[in-house]
Amino acid sequence: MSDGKYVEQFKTVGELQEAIDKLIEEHRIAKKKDLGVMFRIVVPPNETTTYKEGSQGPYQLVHGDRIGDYTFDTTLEWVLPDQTAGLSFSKSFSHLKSTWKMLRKHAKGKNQSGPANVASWILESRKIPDGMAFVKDPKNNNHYFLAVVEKMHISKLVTYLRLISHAMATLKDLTN
Amino acid sequence: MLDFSGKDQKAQQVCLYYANQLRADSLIRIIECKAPVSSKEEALAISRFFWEMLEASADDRDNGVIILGEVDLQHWMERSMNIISGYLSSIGYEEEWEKICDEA
Repeated sequence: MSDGKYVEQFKTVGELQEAIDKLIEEHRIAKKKDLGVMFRIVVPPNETTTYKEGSQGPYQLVHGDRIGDYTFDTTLEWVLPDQTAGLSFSKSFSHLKSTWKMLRKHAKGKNQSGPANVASWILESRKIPDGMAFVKDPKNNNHYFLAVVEKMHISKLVTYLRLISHAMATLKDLTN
Repeated sequence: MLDFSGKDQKAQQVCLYYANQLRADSLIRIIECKAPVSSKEEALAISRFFWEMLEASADDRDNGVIILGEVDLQHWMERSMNIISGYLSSIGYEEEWEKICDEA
């Protein structure tokens, strides 16, 4: 797993913005249609695309996937296509910053606020697996679901998410 | 107007619950989707409300308070944030959202 694959760190929101702006500039050049690079906020000890037992909030885990992030059949063996479900990704710095702040303040409760790391996925380095797609949240242009668009077995989704995790790099949150 | 349709209806119930708790009476009609955000002041007010709601929800979670049948409203906070900030951005009030987010 890619947990701990930190490429950089940030001590201020300004440093975070600088790193994100650089990635967007390098990977979203003049191709407005392409997402190029996408970002995901990760609250440790969870990993970039999977959760650790005890740190997943009020959701059952199936091989590290949260019931609720995807739509399962009643056996919990099969993941059903759903364009309104999937791991959350940010397209813009602004959306990323809001999500980062929200998760720092809320993911573990008020008495355990922060940190929340920022993972990036440069899409040229690994294409989106078959049966999955980035689908724009119809209620927010800068929020995307990494959705399942073809019925697949949970083991396949887990394999895909782990492969994606290997392609992601993490900026470690060292803010106060 | 805010869009709590489909699987997001519970996010609206959560927002209404906290609007009552936080005495944000002037925002009720906006949260009920009966009125649009129609001024900079309202955009700032609904943004401020979100972050106050988040704080209150985190507090309730620490204290084990069950709200609308749930002890952890993380998912509904995420949906509310995406719905409110997405709406404000779509009607030209992204700056107002940003300003309050930076202050939160």
